[in-house]
Amino acid sequence: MKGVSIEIADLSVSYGGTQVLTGIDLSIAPGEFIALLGPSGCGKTTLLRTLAGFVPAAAGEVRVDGQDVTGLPPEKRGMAMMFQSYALWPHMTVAENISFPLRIRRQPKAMVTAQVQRMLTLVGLDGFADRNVTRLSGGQRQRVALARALAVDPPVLLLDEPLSNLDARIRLSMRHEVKSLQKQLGLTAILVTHDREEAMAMADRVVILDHGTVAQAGTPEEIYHRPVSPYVAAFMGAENTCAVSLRHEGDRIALSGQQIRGTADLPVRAVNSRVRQDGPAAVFFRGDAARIAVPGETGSGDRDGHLTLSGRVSLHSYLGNVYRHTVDIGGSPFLVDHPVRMDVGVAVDVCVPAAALHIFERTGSAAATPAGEQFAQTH
Amino acid sequence: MGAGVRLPSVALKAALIVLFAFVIFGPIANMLIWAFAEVWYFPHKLPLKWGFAFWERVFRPQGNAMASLGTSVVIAFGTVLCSLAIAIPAGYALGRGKLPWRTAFLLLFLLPQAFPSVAVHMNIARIFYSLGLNGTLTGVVLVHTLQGLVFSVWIATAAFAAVDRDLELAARNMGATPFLAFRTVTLPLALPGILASAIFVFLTSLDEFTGTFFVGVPEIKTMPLLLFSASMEGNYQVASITALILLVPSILFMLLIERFLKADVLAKVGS
Repeated sequence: MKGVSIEIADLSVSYGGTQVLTGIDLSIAPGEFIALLGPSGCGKTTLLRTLAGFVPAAAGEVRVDGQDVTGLPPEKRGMAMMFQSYALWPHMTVAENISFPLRIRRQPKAMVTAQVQRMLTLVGLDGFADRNVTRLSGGQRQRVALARALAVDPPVLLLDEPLSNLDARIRLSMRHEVKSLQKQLGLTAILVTHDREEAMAMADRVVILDHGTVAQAGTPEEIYHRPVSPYVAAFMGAENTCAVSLRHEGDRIALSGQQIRGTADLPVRAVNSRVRQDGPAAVFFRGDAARIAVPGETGSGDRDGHLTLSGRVSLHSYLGNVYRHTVDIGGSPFLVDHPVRMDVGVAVDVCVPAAALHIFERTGSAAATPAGEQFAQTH
Repeated sequence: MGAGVRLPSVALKAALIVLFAFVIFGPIANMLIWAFAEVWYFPHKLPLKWGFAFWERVFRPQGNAMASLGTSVVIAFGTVLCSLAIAIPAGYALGRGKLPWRTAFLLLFLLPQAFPSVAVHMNIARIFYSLGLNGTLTGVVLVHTLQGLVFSVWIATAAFAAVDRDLELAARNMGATPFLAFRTVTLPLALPGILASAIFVFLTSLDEFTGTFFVGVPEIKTMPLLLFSASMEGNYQVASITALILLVPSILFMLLIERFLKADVLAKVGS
C-alpha cells in the first residue's frame, strides 16, 4: 500500500491535569518522512502515541487520508508502530511475532508463511524464523520489530526512538536501512528522536517541539541554517551566544557589544536575522562554523563580513578531525573548533562568518540559551 | 586463624541443618511410623507390631476415605476455578494500576484473613444457612475461594503488573481488539504467576478445615474432617494414613503444573 496523508489540526493532549501538547498543527504528505525532534519532556513521544491511539486527544483532530481517526481505537488506525523497547512478545518466536498481525486477520496459512519469509528477507534475517526473540541481539530485535510492523503493508509507520538502544555503529547503518526501506515501500513515516543528526539524516522534514508546541517545522537545511528562535538555534547546535547591540544601516547590519572587537559590519542578506528594529539583540552561532585566529597574524581585510570576538583559550579536547577549544570571552565560555591546537592561555580571536550568525531579539535577562548544555552533542 | 573461625561456623551450620531437618521431618517421620503401626504404646520407642491392618480399615468401602478424598479433590478444583475466575479480571484491573483505591481493594481481599477464622466462618455459616448453601458443595467451594482469594488476587496482580504495557499496546497496534490482545499476549505472559497462585489455592483448599466444618458438616465430608474425627477418637493410625493420602493429590497437582510450565518459567515468577 502507498503511504497516506496525515493531517493534525489544533491537537491538544493532557495527562492527568497537565497539558502535554497544545494546539499542534501539522500536515504530512503521503510518503513523507517526518522527524519529531526535541529534548525529553517536549511531548514528541506523546504526539506519536496520540497518533497511534494509545493516548486520547483532549481537543483537535487527526485525519488520515482525509478520514477523522481521532476517536478510533489503536487497532482501527492502520498505523504500525516500532517501539523504543521493540515490544517483541517473548513467548513467541521470530516468525510468530512477525506473523501475528497476519494471523489475527485470518489470512491463509500459506500466505502467512510466504509473507513472513518475504519480511525476513527484507530486513536481512533469513534463517531466524524459529529463533526465540529473547536470544537475539539488539540490532536483530530491532529488525524483527521492523519486520512485524511492515508485515501487513501499513500505510503509516510510526518509529519511537527505534535506534536509541543500539550501539553507535549499528545505529548509523540502520538509519540508512530504515530510510531506504521507507522510500522503497513508499509509506508515510513519523520518527521520534532526540538526536538531531538522526533526524536530519533520515527525515524529509524535521519538526522541533518545545514544551508541547511546534517550535519550527522545515527541511533539515531550513532548521539548520534558518532557525526561527533561540530555542531551535541552540537545539541545532548553535550554543555559543552573546549579547549585542544591533543597528540597521541600509542593507548592512552593525553589531557591537562588550565581547565584540570593534564593530562588526555585516551584509543583511547573509545573516539569519529575526530582528527588525535597532536595539539589544542576541547572537547565536555554532562552534564548527567559527574559526580561531591569532590577533595580528592575519590582515584585517580577512575579517570583513565577520564577527570577531577576543578571548583566551581555557581548554581544548581532540575530536579526531578538529580540536574543540573552549575560549573564554568576557567571562563566558565559547566552544570553537579549529584544526590546529591552540595552547591554553593564548589570546585568540574567534571569527564568525556572517552566514553562520543567527540573530534574535534579546528577551529579558542575560543569555537566551534555552537549556544550555543539555543539548551538547558531539559529532 | 581462618581455620579456627571456619570450624565452629561449619559445625554451627551442620547443627542448624540437623535442627531444621528434625523440626520438619520429625513429625512426618512420626506420622509415617504411626501409619504402619498396629500396636504401639508407652514407654516403647517403636511400635510393637507393624502391619497394614489399618490401611485395610481406611480403604474398606465403609471407611469413607476414598469418598472424602474425591470430595476434597472436587472441592479443590472447584475452588481453583472459582478463584481464577475472580483473580484474573481483578488482578488485571489492579495490576494495570488504573483503578482508583487500588491499595484499598488489595487490602479488602486480605480482610477475611485478618479476623479470627472461627468468627468469620460462624457468621458465613449463618448467612449461608439462610441462603440454603449450608451442606452443599457450592457453599464449601465459596468458603474455600474466600480463603484462597488473597493469594490468587495478590499474585495475579503482581503477575499482570510485571507484563510490560507496551507488549499489549503493540498487539493493539497490530490490529488486535482489547480482548484478543489480552488473550494472546497479556494472559500468556502473566500465566506462570497465575498458575503458581493456583497451586497455593489448591493446597489451601485441600487442607481447609474450619470453613468446611462450619458450612459443610454433616453433608460434606472432606479429608481434613475425616482426619480430625480420627484424631479425636484417638485413632492415630487412621489419622496418619489419611494425612498421607492427602499428600497424593497435592503432589499430583504440583506435578501437573510443573509439567505444564517449564521449570525455567516458574523460576521467573515475580521477576
